[in-house]
Amino acid sequence: MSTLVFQNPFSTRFVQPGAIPWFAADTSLSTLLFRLYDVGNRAIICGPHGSGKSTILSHLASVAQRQGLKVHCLRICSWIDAIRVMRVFATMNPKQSIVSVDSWELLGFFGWFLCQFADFRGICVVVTVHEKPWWNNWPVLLHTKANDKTFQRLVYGLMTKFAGSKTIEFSNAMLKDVFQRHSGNLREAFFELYDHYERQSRRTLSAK
Amino acid sequence: MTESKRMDQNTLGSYRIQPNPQINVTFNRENIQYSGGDHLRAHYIVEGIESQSISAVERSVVWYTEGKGEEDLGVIFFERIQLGRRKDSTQISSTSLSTDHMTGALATELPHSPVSYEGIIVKIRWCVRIRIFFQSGRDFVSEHIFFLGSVPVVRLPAKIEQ
Repeated sequence: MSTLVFQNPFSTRFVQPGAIPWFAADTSLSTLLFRLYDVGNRAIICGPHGSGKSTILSHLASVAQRQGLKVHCLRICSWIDAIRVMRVFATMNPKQSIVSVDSWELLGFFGWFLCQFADFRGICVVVTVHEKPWWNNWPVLLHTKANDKTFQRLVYGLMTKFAGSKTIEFSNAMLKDVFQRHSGNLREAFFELYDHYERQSRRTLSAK
Repeated sequence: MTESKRMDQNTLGSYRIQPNPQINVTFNRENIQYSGGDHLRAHYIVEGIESQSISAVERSVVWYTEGKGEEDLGVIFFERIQLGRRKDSTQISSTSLSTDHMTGALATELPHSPVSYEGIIVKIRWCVRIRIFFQSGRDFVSEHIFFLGSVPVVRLPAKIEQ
């Protein structure tokens, strides 16, 4: 029997937040963490869909953990998760912990309440949002925006590390086209490359 | 053709300081093809690092889904070997792991499902996973794929292929 492994470098496990590296020419993760302390321990990472907010959050959490802090990573799926956030805010030690909250805007009105509570307890917290809410006075730590060069760099990194086939390649022009078609949304662009990669690798199999 | 893939991953890849070890796994079947109910035996060798730098080794037999969606995972065998440290800084470990050569073995009976599947949107993979924890707090994972069952590889529909 013929058995083959089609390892697709654009599978979720390789492109999910935390799995891919974060590149920035002007700042490092440690600098970002220091900036967070400078601005009062509470800040927002702001940016459109698929621009790398969750990736930065994940890497920041790793850096904080390496510095000996206890990290609470929370991912919000709906406003009901406000209970979970409240529980963490109420029970954690503000001096030795940091909270990272992904998709804060899904908390709606409860987000405002939790902001007040975090301010009151002096909790160190970083949250991601698509746009800064008018009622939130926390400073913006970083505006994320991906560009086609970053996309190309990430793609080549993934191909080098995880590609199952060495014969499949993507040209710079094609990558630029994919990136622009998805308006800079890296997640969607990776999904399109996933499909390309599957088609190419199975065509290669058929040819054999 | 039989092709086994090995995937090594440092969970903090961008902060890699520790040299990456090389982990080789040998299966009791050369073609790494198994059926439900079969006995899987695997032997592994860790090379390229000092045994003193390791604090624990986890070995497991798992299946996971891979594709465009969320990942599912099932563990059918798991064992953690904690390498304790005595006051004279020599390591003590359980008998199933030789600290001199960093070798070990595992054995388990495989279930009948889920079978390995090479689909387009989703794939189901079986693997022996060896995870090494270093004294520094970092870890390193090495996955060695094998096949359960004999579902053929999914091919593209003719329309799409054209």
